[in-house]
Amino acid sequence: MSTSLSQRPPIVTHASLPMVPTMARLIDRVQETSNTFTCRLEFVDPEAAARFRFYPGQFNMVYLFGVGEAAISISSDPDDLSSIQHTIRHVGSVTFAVSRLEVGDVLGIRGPFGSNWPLEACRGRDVLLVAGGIGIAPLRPAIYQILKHREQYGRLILLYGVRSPKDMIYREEVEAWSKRRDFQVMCTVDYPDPQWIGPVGVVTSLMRRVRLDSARTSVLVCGPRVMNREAAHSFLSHHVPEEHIFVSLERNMRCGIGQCGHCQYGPKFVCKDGPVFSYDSVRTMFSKEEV
Amino acid sequence: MKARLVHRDDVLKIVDLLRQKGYEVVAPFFGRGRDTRFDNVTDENRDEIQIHLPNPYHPPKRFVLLQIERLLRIHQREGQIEIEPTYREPKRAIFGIRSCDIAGIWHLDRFFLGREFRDIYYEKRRENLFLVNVVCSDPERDIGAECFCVCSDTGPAARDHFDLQLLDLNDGEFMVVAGSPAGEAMFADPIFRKGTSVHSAKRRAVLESARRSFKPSTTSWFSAAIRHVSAGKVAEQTWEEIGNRCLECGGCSYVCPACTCFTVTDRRVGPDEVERVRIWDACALGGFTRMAGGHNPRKAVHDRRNRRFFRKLSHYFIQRELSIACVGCGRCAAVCHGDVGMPSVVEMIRRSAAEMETHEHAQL
Repeated sequence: MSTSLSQRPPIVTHASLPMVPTMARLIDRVQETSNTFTCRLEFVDPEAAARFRFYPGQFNMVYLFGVGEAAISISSDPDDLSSIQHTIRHVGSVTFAVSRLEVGDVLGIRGPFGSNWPLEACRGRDVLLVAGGIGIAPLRPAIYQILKHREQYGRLILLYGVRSPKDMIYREEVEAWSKRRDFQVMCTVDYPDPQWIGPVGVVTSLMRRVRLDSARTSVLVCGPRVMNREAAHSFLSHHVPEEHIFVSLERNMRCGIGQCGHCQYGPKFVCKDGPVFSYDSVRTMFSKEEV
Repeated sequence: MKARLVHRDDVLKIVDLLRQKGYEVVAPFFGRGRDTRFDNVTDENRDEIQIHLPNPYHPPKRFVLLQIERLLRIHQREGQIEIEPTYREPKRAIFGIRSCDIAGIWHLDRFFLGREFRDIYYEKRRENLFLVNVVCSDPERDIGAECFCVCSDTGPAARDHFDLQLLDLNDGEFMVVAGSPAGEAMFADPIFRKGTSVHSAKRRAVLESARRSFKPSTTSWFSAAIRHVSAGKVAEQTWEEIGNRCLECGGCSYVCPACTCFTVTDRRVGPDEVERVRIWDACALGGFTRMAGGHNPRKAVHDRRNRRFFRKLSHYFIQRELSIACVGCGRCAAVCHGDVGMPSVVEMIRRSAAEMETHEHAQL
């Protein structure tokens, strides 16, 4: 189960003013694909940096002065707080403006917000991660944590689907993971190029290649909406318990603290009850076309 | 609770007392034509304050939850960025606020102050707010055709959450009830006189006749609508009917004393200065849930209507907020061009649920 709010790390920005961003500096930027990049940020104020902690799966509100704010998941290792990383695909005005920043530029951060991947509850169980496209970004901190405490978990499997081989992000890391004997990594693409020798098809098609021990498997899913639904439903049909299927959702967000009302999802607020939900808590909304 | 009497000619002296105490007082006035509005009281317009009048279209919500509230200010000087959080702490009194709007403010209190994150901007405005409630007792001037506070259990006399409550006893006297220590402190002034049990009996009689002056309303079916919405038993077709009549103007949210949604945006105020502001937003508007890249998880208008009434009536939110998010002011019904305000929706839900009842189709 997701951690209750009181156990979550404090919001770095002034505790009584969660709407006020803290300044952070872009210290490094890696182009992952043609439209996706990973930026490394460092808090300008060392005190803020010392206060900042997060759990895998949480997100920050990234604010660009005069442009706007977007909810972006944190994709770095929670134990390495010298900098925080965000992997961003430019689709809107804020993400586009962030993509134009240069090293040394300053932006605003509010966070961390939201629930986290339930790594505690996954202890002693097989962990199956399903990522679609940029959905691997919020899963990366969880992967780091599981690999760090590898002996506490059963099998570890990553199913990763991207549109085409050149759309794969964290390519080198994924290759390094796939070489490990204790980490089974499978990638699939929708549109192969001549060099691609792996499987072709949607990410759920990889599930046929995995032998699941359903009763002792926890599934963490993050990807586009249709993929989330397909994945959750096919794991259900494989008899993975509902409370062990976790999905990270995304919504339009303005505040991150459950006030602005934009991210309401049935009776839940994605920003504070989510973004990570166990399937049983969102079951009624999940199959609906529009919620 | 303590109560006192005030003579009709002395009622507006309460406004004077509040102004002497340093409150910025807001009170209801007639506008041009038939409309009514809340406005700041000045020396010039003080005598034009109305006690009995139709409740203004725009609820006094905007004095605690500003339509545009500045959250912070950002200066950019020589490449250096400074963030300066700003909030204002006005000392304000609202004179003549109706019981439904009192319930609306209490709803905002629970929403902004009673949950995980206290909202400091709201808190600062609320802290020094003094509320003088006027009970709607005049069937001609106070109680409108759309009013249904008797159904939402918020009126005609608010039970709590006011500082002073005025009730016209119709014999030249007003009964004043103090709802807070600040309100009781006002009784030190000689305009407040002691009453007798005759006056309390009179108060009960006036209230009783006020309750009876409400027009019959479809919102007497509230409990049925709450049950069907909570159980998700309202047919998709009913929502589509409601959606077809919605013009997506957002008017219902803007006049609703209990609506809280906002958006946050930047406003440039100088060459090197930006203000971050939050602005009222409405779930009826198409862009409300649209995400970067264009995907909109609630694109269809009937899904957005479904959302609004789920938020207002579902058991889930009632449990968390102790009441439905509707205070019975009737403004949505008055403002809606498609006639899908709360009373009509309650009626449509009830009717569609009745059609689905199995015994409707029982074989004779």
